Amino acid sequence: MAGLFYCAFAVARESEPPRTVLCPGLIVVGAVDPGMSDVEKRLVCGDSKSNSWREIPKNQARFNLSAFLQDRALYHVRFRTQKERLIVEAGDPTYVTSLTSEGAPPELELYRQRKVVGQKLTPALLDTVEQWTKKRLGTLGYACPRVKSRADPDTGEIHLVIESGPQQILMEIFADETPGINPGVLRRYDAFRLGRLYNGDNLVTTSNRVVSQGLFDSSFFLPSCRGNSVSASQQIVASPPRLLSLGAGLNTEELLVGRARWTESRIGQNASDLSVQLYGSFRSQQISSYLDAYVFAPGSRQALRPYVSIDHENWDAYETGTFSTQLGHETSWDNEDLGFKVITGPQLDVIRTYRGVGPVSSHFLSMLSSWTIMSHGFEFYGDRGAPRTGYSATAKIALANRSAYSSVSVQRLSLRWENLLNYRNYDPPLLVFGLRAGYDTTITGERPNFSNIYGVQLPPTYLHFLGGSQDLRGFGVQELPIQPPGTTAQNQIGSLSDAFVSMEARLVEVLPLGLEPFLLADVGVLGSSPWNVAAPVYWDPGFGLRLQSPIGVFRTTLAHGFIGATPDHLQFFFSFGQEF
Amino acid sequence: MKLFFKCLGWVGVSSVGLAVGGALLVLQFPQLLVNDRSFSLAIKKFVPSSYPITWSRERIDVRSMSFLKKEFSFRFDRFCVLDQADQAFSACFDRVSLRFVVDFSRLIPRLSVIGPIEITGGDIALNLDRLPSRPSAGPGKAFEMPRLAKTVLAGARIEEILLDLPRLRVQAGGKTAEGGLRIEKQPLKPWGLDGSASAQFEEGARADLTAHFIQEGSRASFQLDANYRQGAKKIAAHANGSVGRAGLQARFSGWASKLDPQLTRVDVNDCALSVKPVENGADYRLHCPMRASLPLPPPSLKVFGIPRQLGLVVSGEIHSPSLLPSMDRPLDGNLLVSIDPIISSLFTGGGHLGLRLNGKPAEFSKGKGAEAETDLFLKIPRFERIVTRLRGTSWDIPAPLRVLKGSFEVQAKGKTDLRQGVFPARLDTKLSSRSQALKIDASSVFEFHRAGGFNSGLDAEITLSDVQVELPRLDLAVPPRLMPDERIQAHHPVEAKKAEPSSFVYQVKIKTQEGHPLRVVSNLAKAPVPIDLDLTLDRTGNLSGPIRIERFPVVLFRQKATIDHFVLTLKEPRDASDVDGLIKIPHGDYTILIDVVGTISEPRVRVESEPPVPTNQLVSVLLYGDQQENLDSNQRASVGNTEAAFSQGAMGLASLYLFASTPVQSLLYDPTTRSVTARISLGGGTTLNLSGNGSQFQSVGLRKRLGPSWAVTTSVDQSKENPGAQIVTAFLEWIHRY
Repeated sequence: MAGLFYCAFAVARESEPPRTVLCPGLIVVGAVDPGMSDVEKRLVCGDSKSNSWREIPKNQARFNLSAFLQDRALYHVRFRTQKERLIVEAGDPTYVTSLTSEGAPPELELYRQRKVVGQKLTPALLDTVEQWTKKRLGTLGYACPRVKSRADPDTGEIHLVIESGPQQILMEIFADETPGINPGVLRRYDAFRLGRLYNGDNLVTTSNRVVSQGLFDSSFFLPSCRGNSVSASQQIVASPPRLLSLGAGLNTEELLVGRARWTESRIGQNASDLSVQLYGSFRSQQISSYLDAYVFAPGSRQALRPYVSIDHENWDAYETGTFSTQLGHETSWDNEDLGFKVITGPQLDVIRTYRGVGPVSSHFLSMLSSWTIMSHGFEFYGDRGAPRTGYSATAKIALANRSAYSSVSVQRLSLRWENLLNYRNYDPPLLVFGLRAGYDTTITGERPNFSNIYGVQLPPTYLHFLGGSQDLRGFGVQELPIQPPGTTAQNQIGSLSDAFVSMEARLVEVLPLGLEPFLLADVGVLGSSPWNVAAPVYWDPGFGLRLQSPIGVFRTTLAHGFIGATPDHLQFFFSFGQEF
Repeated sequence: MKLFFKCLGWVGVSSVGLAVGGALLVLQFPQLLVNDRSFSLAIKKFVPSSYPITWSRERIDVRSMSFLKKEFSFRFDRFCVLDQADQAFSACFDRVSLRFVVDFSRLIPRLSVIGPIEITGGDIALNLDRLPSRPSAGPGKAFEMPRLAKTVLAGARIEEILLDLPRLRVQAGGKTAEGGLRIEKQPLKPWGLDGSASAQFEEGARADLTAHFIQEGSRASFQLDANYRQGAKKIAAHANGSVGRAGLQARFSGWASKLDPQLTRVDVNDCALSVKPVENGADYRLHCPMRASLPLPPPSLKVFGIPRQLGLVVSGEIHSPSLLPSMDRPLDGNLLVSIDPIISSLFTGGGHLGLRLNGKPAEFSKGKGAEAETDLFLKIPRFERIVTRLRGTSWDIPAPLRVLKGSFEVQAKGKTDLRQGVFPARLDTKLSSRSQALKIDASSVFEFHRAGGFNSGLDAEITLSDVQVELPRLDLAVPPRLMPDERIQAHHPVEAKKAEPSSFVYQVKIKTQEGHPLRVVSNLAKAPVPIDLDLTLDRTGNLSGPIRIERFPVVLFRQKATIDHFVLTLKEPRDASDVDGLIKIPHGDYTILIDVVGTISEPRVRVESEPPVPTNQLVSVLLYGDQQENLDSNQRASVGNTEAAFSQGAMGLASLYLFASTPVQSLLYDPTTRSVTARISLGGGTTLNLSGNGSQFQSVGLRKRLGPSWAVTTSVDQSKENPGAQIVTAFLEWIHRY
């Protein structure tokens, strides 16, 4: 009986609306603790430390509370007095039911803005909506829009009144003069073209390029509108020219990854830069250095790029040491949508094979040409550590001939393409689809095979393997092709061709704590002859989790490899700092 | 021919003889001429048939008192006169008897005695609406007796007169008045008149009047009582006095109730009026005490202890050029309404209203000839009592004013005419508390004029002669929301009716006295902030004008600084108000100048120096107290972000002050959204959102700084595993520049 009574009492208590005592004379009923700040409490309850504000009359407390509770989306507050106490019935918060606009250009596509409808209607949310709209209009060429919002606390409707103005052309950039640097140098990093439609994101991408090159510590653009045109003033924060950085990452393939880099930027009037980098992991170590020598006109994007590196790679299939040097000619080009970079020049590789199939020592003098095209969206969101859209494609060709200081005549072709698709271009995204594809082939008369592993004249780095976080995640790094039984670590052979497609569908900003689950599927094939790929088909379905933490991105995947119809094994992968 | 004239002569002589003989015969025997029959024939002959005069019985007697003195008596029973044509009147009397004595000793016979005259049992009905209009007799001649009548009546002795009309009914304008009248005069006794009247109006209104007059020598005394009632409205009046050649002396008393919703009852006690004829007209004097009962105040106003009764005295002296004032003849004099002092536990009040007349009443409404003067005051001697009395009510005085003590007074004094008026008023406050003061001198002028409709306006000037206000204690954080966000309002499906343009215009100026700025006390400032105001509030509710912070020392960016000037010029919309400020911070060999310009919502900050130093260096010194070269990468980036935020006006004024008052570890700025987030060193690495718009900083771009030299650097790089592939990688890095 007592138990029944207790249960009834507990249920009754449970069904009572929550009560928060703000101060002896003021109780808030019906809402979770509104979480008043100290200042807000003083303005409602009085301040014992201030003679003039010691006592707050109830009508003033009501007025102040009504304003404060707006920040908590509480608009239907009722007040009543009970035995000298002010009882505040907070009511239910108002949630946004719709978002509409007037005066917006059709391309604004307000529906893209996520996390508005269904959220609590607060002044801060209105600020966010206004800012999102301005930013979005800025990417569409409306550099100086005016956006005003209004909302109905009864219906939850938000309505924007937009004065976008005309679409504007970016006409001119004014840059601070930096002592010791020719004017116009900064223009080679522009992710836009003057005389084209303005896009605020492209200015940010430009600033990021300047900072990532180590040129300056900070760069930002301040747009100024005048009629149909926009000019922007580029402000920079000059910093000492030398940068020393020590960094770390980790993943299950290379375990701990470290990077040390020394860069001297702003060499000469054209701000050439010299970089020396040490990269090390359990699997590979590298010392490299390059010089971007801008020896042409100050604003020219052309540079001579001497490069040298010493690599040591120790994979399951092989262990090599490589000395590479290249004298490349680099140039780039940007418009308002994409950037294009080309590096062409001779490259000398001297390769020593410590373990694995291939000559103990080989050398190749190649004419190497690398072409990269990347959309500004891919670069912009990649820089922000939140890839969601855009594409990147790279084509590399290396031509070596035996008659030109090469151990073997060999041509290598490598194609890579990556595309990220943001479902309905929501912001923040809801679903991000990733597609990555690659094709490699080594064109040579050599035919490495297991029956003649000692006759192979190609170093293992010129052969192709699949498996790992970059292609087939259901298999270990460079696990494919599957070696025949009895193969040891000394005689694993790669293939002359490979092709793969990796796919991923990631759910973004739905789960709490920043968790983003995704499904993945990869498929790849290898070929033992140039250009051709053949069965078996390697494929793997799986899933993973991405976590955007304050210190960076963590990713983990679990996928099951299949060889044809035959299941192989589960493969786990974990990384810090690596993205799709 | 001679015979003709001879015959004519004899005829003439005979005629004269006959006439004289006849006259002598009539004189001797007047009843030969004046008798029942001749009277009836005369009525038929001379009175139009549309006004039949009838009687039931008559008796006409003529008696010869001497040869040349004859007595005539007429007596009629049921004597009636009707207006058959227009039906404008009908009069019937039970008895009409009339006696007069005619003296024929002069060429024009005179009446030597009149009376007794008895007219009793009268039943008179008069319809003024049906009376035919008669040509005006001309100005001043309407009531002038014919000269012949004056001659005939001169010297007549009036004996008993009794006029008793118990039923007297008058219709005019659709309204009917009924009453009775009795006039009586006894020989050797003074004239007496007793009258009563009552009138019934539409809507159930009724008025009753009784009057009593008695002749006393050359004067007549009178007593009047009147009542009026219409629904809940009632008026009762009593007057007594005397009137004669020397003038009129009267005393009035009475009361009226519910004539106006704002007045429950008005009592008049012993109101004295005198009218004295003088050579060029008449002098009027009035002295009238009154008491007005005010309605119960609404419950919310009961606390003010507003008295229920108001005492007034209306007095005046007016000269009229004629005995009775006329609209077309000028009056000259004064009227004064004095308000008895009002004393309650909370306030005292009183004053007077005066009217100076010097013109024609017909022109008063045009503003000519009448000038009014007011002198009213209201004083609250102890403001703290108001606070105590209002505690817990809807009028409760808000903080920080509720701790003030002292007095304030309102005085309205001025002249007006009936067409347009000017009322100057003053407000003086002398309030203070331990940390506050509120001494205000306010003067205002209320104007109205009636040309083209009633229009009014108020022009006020409020001078803050000594004001110190204490702000609530604030923390170094984003200030709380003090006003509801204007963007969030309930939607009304029907557009509110456009208010008709008001005929009341006003302008209020609020300014500080020179040399006595308004002082604002805050825990965030070491000393009270001196502020000069020169603001104007107009009829649309817009407040405009400059708010100027005077030169005073302050600590900003942890350094001693001086605000050289800071002017906020308010205008509409509020966010567009202009800002212009200059702050000087001495630092070593140079002085940093922080120039703030722009608007409230987007104040742009320029940092310069004398002598010139690169802006980067100046910002570096402000934020971190050190040269830029000595800063780490994170700090240098913060310097750059700060410059950008300053240039784009991304921080509101309050945020700027917070930013300048807190030790900043780092500052992040997103130029595309103008979002500013600062990390300050107040324990726990508190993060402040300093965006004027309150938006949250979404992401940090290329490098997410974690500390002075630590960052997560994200970049699109070549893949190590797949050369040729571009992948996004991030490294946790320690960074050092040199």
